[in-house]
Order: sequence, then structure tokens, then C-alpha cells
Amino acid sequence: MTSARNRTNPLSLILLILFFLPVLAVLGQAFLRPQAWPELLAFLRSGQFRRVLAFSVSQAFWSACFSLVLAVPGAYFFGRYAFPGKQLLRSVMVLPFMLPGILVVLAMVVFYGQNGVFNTWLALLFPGRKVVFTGLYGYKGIVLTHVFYNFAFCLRMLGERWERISPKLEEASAVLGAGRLTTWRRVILPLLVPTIGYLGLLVFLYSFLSFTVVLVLGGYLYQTFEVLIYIEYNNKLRFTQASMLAGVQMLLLAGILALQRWTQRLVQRQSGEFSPLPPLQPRKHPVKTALFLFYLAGSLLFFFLPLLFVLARSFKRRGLPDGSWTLDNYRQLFGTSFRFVVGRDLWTVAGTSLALAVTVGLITTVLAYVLARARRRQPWGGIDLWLQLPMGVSFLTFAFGLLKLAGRTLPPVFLIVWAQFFLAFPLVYVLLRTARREWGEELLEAAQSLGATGWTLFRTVELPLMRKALSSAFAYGAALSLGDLSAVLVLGQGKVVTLAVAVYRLIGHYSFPQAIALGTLFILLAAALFSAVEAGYIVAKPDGEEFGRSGGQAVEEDFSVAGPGGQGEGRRQ
Amino acid sequence: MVLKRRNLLLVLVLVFSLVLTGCFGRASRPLTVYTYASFSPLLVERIVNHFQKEYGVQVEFRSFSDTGPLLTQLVQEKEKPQADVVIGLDNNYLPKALELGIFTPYKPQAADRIRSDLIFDASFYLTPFDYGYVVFNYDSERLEQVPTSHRDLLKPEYRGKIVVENPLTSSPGQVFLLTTIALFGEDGYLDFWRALKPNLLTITPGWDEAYGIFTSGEAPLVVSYGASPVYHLLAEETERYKALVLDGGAYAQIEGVGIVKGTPYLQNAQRLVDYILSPEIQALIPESQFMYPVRRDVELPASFRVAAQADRLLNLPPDQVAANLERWLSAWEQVISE
Repeated sequence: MTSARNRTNPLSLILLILFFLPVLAVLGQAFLRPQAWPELLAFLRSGQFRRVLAFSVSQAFWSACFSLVLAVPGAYFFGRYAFPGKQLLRSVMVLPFMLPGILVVLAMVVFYGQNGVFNTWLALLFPGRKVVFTGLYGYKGIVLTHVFYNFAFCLRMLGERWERISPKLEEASAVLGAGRLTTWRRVILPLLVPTIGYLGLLVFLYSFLSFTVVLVLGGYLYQTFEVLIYIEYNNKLRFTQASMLAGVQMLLLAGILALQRWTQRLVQRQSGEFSPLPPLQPRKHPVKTALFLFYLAGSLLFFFLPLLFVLARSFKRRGLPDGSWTLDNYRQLFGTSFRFVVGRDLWTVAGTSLALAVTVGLITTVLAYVLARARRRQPWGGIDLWLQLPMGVSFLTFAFGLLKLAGRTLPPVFLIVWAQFFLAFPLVYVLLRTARREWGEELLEAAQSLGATGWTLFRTVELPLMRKALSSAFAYGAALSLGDLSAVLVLGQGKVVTLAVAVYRLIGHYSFPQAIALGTLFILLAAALFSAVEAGYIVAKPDGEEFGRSGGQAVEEDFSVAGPGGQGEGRRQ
Repeated sequence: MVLKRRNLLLVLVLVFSLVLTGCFGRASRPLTVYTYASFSPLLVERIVNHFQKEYGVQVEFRSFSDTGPLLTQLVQEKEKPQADVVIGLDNNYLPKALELGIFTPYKPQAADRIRSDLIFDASFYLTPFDYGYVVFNYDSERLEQVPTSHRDLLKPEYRGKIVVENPLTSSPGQVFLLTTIALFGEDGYLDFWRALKPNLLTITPGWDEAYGIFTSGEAPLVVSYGASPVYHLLAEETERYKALVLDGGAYAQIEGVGIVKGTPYLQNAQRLVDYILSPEIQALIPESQFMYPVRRDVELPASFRVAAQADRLLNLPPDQVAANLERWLSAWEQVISE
């Protein structure tokens, strides 16, 4: 093990090649020309560059800020208390990520639009006075939608981090005479900062690369680099121009990612121990319970009702809000019309999606874990950073590069898996890398010194220890694959039809209610998949509750899904 | 850093992978058709079955997310074509296609049955097979005053009530931009857009979002297709949504089919073009593609009574579009971002 310390892992080299070969194929085309550099300079000096940069940075900054600020109070309750329905809430709160971008847009329009539910309520609340929310189409709407996408993700991740900070630390601090505020400032906050930093960075990157949301709500008054890249590629057919833009964007984001080195440096090893959380009892904590309920009601109101309202339309006749309740839209999904519009029947489509998601989830998790394991003793940096870079590369650029490189030789399914692997790896890797560094190395060493070796050691000690992180990582990887549309559209050659593609085709044929119905089924399928992962965990769980968790915590599994699937998908078109 | 010592290895593996991915070409292939993602699977199935049954020929469809990537692919394969037939390039792409020299002309047997004003390419590099008007649609339950001309749209009563697609990213959006140029000329269209801007609720990247916003009751006017109401009539039995022909004319998007230059399967490619123009496929087009068939002798289904019918085609000559489109688009881009 020590011999591996100072060598570059061959696996990481292979991964780097898989990730950067397609990108290089695109960039090479752009920059290996004599005119490239003057053009680049001209672009960097242009007003457009400044405008796009200013908008991208500012909206991404505010999106990250609001997502985090709104998530912190919730993370406190999720990280410090047990309450009924917690697990359900966790999974419900990440639903926006699973949805095709178009459904998120519709959810926002139906709820926050000028004739939306929110304005109807305002009119009821303030009769006579004209109180109207008109901000959806513009800067505010863009930030609002990005927060809608990312807020729940932040809440979950931060809440899980918080759970791993032992309450004993607070008790100790209190025993030593520190006030609550001091404890928070000196003990808790420093432990949370790396996670907050990383999450902030993630939301910033996702928003920076946002595409559909910016175009739909910005009405082309606002542009991100990704928007420019898409237009150059697809509509102006100026590849070198597009590649140049992609190069500029990559450099900018690489700079931002370098910040991550700084936030990750701050990660210290914690106990990694789960303590049983006290239940949040109304009698014992009346104020806190009230505050929590208030918080919960608020976030459900602003972030989950939009989704519910749009999903509810799949149960309405013709999808009209005032239509009668019906299951017709679902029935039609199983009929022949679905096959004629989508080109495959529902089972094939669902099977394809599921198979892809499981494949991508498994490959990503296994490879990321092998690498995280090999690097567990090393500080964050170097290769880790390079492997995060895919997050800063426009997914469109990557997909086009891949198509150029291998589009004619490799079968479409293979290309899609490759691209989705690229999409999922950074997040999955960070999850496993952090978990692997934080969790019970001592236990492993102890087991080893007691004579456990190889496979036995892995199966009986390491696997149970890492199971929670592994199943979580798998869920994120699979979720990203399920939510992806760009890769399947660009690389699938129309031969691979996933649920996201089916939604897209249904809408292309005016079948909005059926598309929403399929979106609903889509969510249920994802939930079933991740519950199955968790069930596997429960069944296979050895009698090892002593391995770092206890009591209710073991059941409190983080099987639910989150990730930039929404945005990854949003980067299409 | 450690990585540096491995640079040579990295380069070697890189080169190796490049060679590997470049080496394997396919020896023989079925008759291959390139099309766009939303081409009706019903038609695909018909074509595939027909060729299997009649000629024992296997037909394979490959679809692209957009016309842009499709064209790029064709250009890259020019030396060694991998496709035989291309379905779905519209009239505005003709000059580009001619310039790139990727098609070979074929005058189909049914050429004289095609409505003559739809034949946008007299030498038949691209043969029209269906067409549709890009017009405004309105929600009759939410719009009190129905406009009759494009100038009417500029009235303050339509403030925030109109959704259009971005001509840079969407084909109906582009056709609508061309409509305004056809109507107001090169000197007038930008003023029209400047005046229209306050009335636009938003400009969406694609038809999907625009139409979704429209049908969720958020805006009563949207740029869509002339046959959009047919769908609502067929699937929802409602005539609430109506197509609107303003100023008595409309711009047609005419979709063509072409045979790839250098195809090894010329005869079957020609058969395919003829089959698409046969009464059998033409009759299926209205309710599968929601477009009009190009043949004069094919009867429209009853549902098409709610589709827009324009007396006058506003279409600009394809050459003029090709020569100026880029300039028009960037001028538009300027005005919109002002």
C-alpha cells in the first residue's frame, strides 16, 4: 500500500484519457490554426465577452448563495434531529433533479408565471390591491429556477455532513464553558465550511453552465457561454468558433475549480461516527419544532408545490388544470400511439433507461471507489483536481468531441455510457473520496493486524463500512444517467430511446399531458431503483451496527438522488 | 509533478487510441437514411417494412438531434458516404446543401403531381415531400381581440402575451424571422422587432418550451405550425386553440428528401424517394407529421379543416435567404440584446 503512494495510479491515467481525449479533439481543431489566437484576443476584448462573463458569474454567484443560505437551517434540523417522515422528505426534496428540463420549466411557469398559481394566491390574499409577481421572465426568474434545482441538493448533502459531526463535540464545548454562539462559530462552522464551500462551488458551476433555463426565462437578453457554444455549433455551424468558446469556458472554470483545492484542503478527518439523533419532540422543543415546521412549510410551498402542480396535470383530462381527474394519460402510455410517437414501447424504453443507469452507476462507482481507495492516504490535490475538471467542461463540447472521435466506430450505446460516465464521475468520486478518507481506517488496520486479509477483509469489514457511501454514490451516478438527454440525443443516433428522450418526443408531438405522466412514472422508477439499492443494503447488512453507525441511523439511509442531472439535461438543445 | 514523468506514456496511449478508433470502418451496410429526431416513427416503420417486403432490402434510420449536426456529419463523410438518403432538410438549407455538394439530383416519378409552387429546387437535388406553415396560434379562451395583421401585434393590449422561438436555435423561430423580413423588408424588420419586443413574454430556445408555455395558459399567442390545432382536435376534441394567418399570407417550411452523392445503392435510394412521394405515404403525412402532403392528388383528412390555409406564400427565394441569413440573424441578435 505504501508503495502505491508516490506513483500515479494507472487507472487515473486511463480515466484522464477517457475524459480529455474527446475534449482535446475539439480544442485541437480550434487552436491549431494560425488565425485562432488573433480571433481569441478579439473575442476576449469584445463587449460580448464581458457581458456574458459578468452575467454568468453574477447569476451563478447568487444562485449558489441563495441555495446555501436557504439550505443551512434545514440542514441543521436534518443533521441534528430525528423526526417522522425524514427519510421520505429527503427523497422527495431531490425530485427536481430527476426531471427533464422542459418539465422544470413548465413547473416554474405554472407556479410562478403571470397567470400562475402563485399570482392567483397573491390576488386572493390581497384583494383589490394589485400585488403581482412578474419576475419569472428575467434575471430573478433565472436565479429562482437555479435555486429550485439546487437548494434541495445542498440541503441533503449539508444535512448528511452535519449528522457526521458528533454531538459530543458540542457537549464538550459546552462543558468547557463555551456559549452556544461560540460553539457554533468555533466548533461546528469550521467543520461545515469545507462542505459548504464545495457545495457552493458545485451550484456555481452548474449555474454557470446552465443553458435551457437561461434561454427560456432570459428571452435571449441573457447569455451564458454554453448558450453561445450551442448556437455556434448547431446553428451557425462554426465549429472552430464554438471550440474556441469552449476552450475559454474551460479555462475560466478550471480557474474556479482550483478554488476547490483550497476548500478541500480544509477537510479534516472527523470521527465519522454516527450518534443517535434525539427526536424532535414538540413538547421538549416547542420553539424549534415550530421553527422547523415553518421552514418546512415554506420550502415545500416555494420549491415543491410547483412540481406537484405540474405533475398533478398528468391526472387531469387533457392535462388541463380545470379538467376532471383521470388516468387516461397513463393509459395512453401503454397504447399503440405511444409506440408510434416514441418508436418503442414503454417497457423497452424503461428497460433501456434502467439498464443504462445501472451500468453507468456501477462502472462509475466501482472505478471511483478503486481510485479513492488507492489514494486514501493522500491529501486532496493533483490528480483529484484533474478528475474534477469534467465538471468544468461543457458537456456539449465533450459529446461533440466524442462523436467526432469515435462516432463512426463505436456503437451508440457504448458512446452514451462513456459520456454519462464522464458526467457522473466527478461527483461520485468526491463522495467516495471524502467517505473513504473519513471512515474508520483504524478499524481496517485493526482487522488487518488481527489477520484478516484480502477478499475477507474487504467483504467483512470494508464493504459494510463503505456501504452507505457506495450505495449513495451509485444512486447519484445512476440518477445522472437517468436525467441525461444531451448524450443520448447527440450520440444515440436515434437508436437508443430512454425515458428522457421519450418525454422529448412526446412533447414534440404535442402530447404534453402524456409527457408529464411519463415524467411522473420516471420519478417513481428512479425511487424504486434507489429503494432497491437501499433494500440490498439492509438485507446484506451484517450484524455490524458497531461499524460506525447505530440505531435509527442505519435505516436512515441516503438512497435518494441528487445531482446535476437536471442541468446536465438542461444543457441540451 | 508526478504526472510529468508519465507524459510520454500519456502521449503514446493517446496516439494509440486515436489510431484504434480510426481504423475500423464497416465493410457493407444496409440502405441508410439520415433524418432529424422528430421524424415520425410511424413513417419509419412503414418504409422499413415496405422495403423488406418488396425488395428484401434492409433500411436503417439514423436520427440527429438537429439539422446542424446532420449536415456536419454529411460533410465529414463526403469522401466515403455512410448515408444514402437524407430526409428533412428544409427549403432554407438548399443553398447550403448545393454549396457543399453532398446531393445528387433525382427527379421522382411523381414530380408532376407535386404542387408546383412548392418545388423549391427545379433541378431536384432536394425534392419536397411535406410542408407546413409557420404561423401564430392563439388560445381562443384567453384572447379577447384577435389580431389580423402583424402590425396589430404591436398594440399595447398584447403586452406580455406573445411567445416566440429564438431564430438562432429553432427552425420555426427562424421561419418567423424570415416572415417578418418578407413582410417588412430588410429595412423594416428590425423596427418591427424593436416594437414587438415589449409585447414578448419571452423568447424560447425551442418550439417545445414555447408551446408548453402557451398551452399552460401563460400566454395566448405563440409562433407554431399551421396544423397544430389538428392535434388538439384529434387528441383532445377541442377547438380552443386556433391557427392564425395574419396579413393573408404565410411562410411555408418545405421539407425535402435528397439522395447522397456517391451512394453505392442508387437504385434503392431512388425507390425510397419515390415511395415517400407515393400516395400511400403522402396520405399518412398529415396526421403523423402534422404537415401537409405535397401531392395535389392526395386528399386531406377531415381534421385538417382547423389547420391554417394560406392563400399566399410569403417565401423568400432560397438564394436570397442563403446569402443574407447570417447577417439578418446577427442584426436581429443585436436588436434583441439592446
